[in-house]
Amino acid sequence: MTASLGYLGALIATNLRAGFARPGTAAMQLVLMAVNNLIFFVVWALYFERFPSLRGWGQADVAMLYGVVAFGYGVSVALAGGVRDLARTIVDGGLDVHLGRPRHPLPSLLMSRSIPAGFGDAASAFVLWLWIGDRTLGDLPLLVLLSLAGGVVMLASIAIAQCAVFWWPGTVKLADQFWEVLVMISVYPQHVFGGGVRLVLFTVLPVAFMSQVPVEAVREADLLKALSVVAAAIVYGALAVVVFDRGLRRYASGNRMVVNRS
Amino acid sequence: MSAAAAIDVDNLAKSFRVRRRVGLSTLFRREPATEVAAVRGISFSIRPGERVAFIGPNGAGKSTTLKMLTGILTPSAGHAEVAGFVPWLERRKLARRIGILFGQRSQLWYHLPVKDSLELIARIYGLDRVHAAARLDRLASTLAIADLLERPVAQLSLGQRLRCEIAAALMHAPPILLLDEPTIGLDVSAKASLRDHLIQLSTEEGTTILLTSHDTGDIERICERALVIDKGLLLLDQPLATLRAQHLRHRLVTLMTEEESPSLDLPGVAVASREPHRTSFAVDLGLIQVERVVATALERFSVRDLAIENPPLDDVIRDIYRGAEARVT
Repeated sequence: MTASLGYLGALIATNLRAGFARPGTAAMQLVLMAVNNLIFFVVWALYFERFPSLRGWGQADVAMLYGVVAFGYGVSVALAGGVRDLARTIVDGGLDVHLGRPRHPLPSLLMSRSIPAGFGDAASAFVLWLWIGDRTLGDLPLLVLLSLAGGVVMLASIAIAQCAVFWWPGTVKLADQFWEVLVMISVYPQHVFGGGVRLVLFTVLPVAFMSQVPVEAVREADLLKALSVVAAAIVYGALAVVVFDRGLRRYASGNRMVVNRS
Repeated sequence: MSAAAAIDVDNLAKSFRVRRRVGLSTLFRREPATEVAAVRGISFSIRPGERVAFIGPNGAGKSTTLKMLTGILTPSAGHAEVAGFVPWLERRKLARRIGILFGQRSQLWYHLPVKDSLELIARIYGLDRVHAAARLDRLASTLAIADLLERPVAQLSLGQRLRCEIAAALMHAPPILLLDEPTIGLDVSAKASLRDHLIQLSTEEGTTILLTSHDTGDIERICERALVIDKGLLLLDQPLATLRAQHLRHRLVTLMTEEESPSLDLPGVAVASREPHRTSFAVDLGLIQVERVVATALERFSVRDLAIENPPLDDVIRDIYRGAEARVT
């Protein structure tokens, strides 16, 4: 157990060092992403200037939601940015190196790349929560915890979609589009939807656990909702491992020249 | 299965299901899958400490076999044991007993100093800091990479990178080393240096080496025995001395001279190709030594440059085929 934790710690540290190997570029990406998120929120500010409520939600609620997604997604890709290349790595035969090691290949695959801009996403979350979202410092621990759990759901969902290439190798681009769609839907309030769409948002595209439910848990101080987000992180995380392991049985390897470029 | 074997392979086979799908017409019509046999039931056994070349042309089944022996691919039929483990059933246990180098893939982090990657690999194998540092020192000295450890991988030449890749494959001191095209893309001196390092490691640590290569030089310099595979079938399994005597009988000596068209009237020497000031001679090693040909050339002509080359592997395979056909008829 200690050795495994030590290994994961070393993997995270190495990945971050690689991500920040060119610190000037990384810092620029980080700052630009934070600014980009805040500029994007101007659209919502303009909306709420004209319409004060979106079915009971105000600007502060949407800011909290946007911050939850930005933090969860940002930390996920900053630490485990390899998830976005997973399908391509599988198709190119890039699992070979990871499979030759005495560890489960998924952590080293996910943490084979760090996207520094993710920390810019995470930084913008604090501005959105504390300044526009009217939350207090006391709310931060729960917001951070639930955002991270939502980030795990997002990471697991993207990983599952990318694993589809084990069965259908031609779906690499589709897997790329999946995470873009997932992030795009998650930054919109989902309480406006009902019936069948809600069912989809809680299952196939589990964006509800990445944004809506964490926000409701903090807003309504609802322990059950908070626990459901943590449970979703565990369930979707385990599902991603199961799908990856099942897909691995179909892995056919490949022979292209690949260097670990982080 | 041989009890003392480092690698034991029995009738191993692998086929892939391939579905041809081209164009819109096949969007809603599922083409039937066809089975393509990559490896067709090969058997061999390798003793601990032996250095064996696994050779054959592109698509022969070398890499597929190696990937089955590392547990990366599951065979369609047959059995194998590596270091006492069935690779595809006990992949993670086996990983502690073997080192793998895929010449076309990297274990190193591109933008980080080499040392960072090697230290992470030590953690992957659960080595404590003291053992990892001692092992790193030893590999740095044997592979002559001490001055490369602090340099980012991005700044290394291909030869330097491959030496570091070998260090990565050997950090956990595995008794068996599996190398897939270790010298691919290297220039002549980098190849020679890498081969020397591999021989030194194998001799000092008793490491069993199984390597695939296209390069007859790898086979001759590193290995004691050769397995020749083509179209998924094992054509030949014999000591290198026998292979050399039977199939590596020629060398190509190319001379760049001041003279426009030099000629050598020596037994076993024939002109293979000729351009002004550049002549290639095919040397039959059964009749004359290369050293004598070179010495005679240096004595008679003003030589600006010369090169001694092995026959291409394709020629060797063709020769083996010719031998097999002759035996049949």
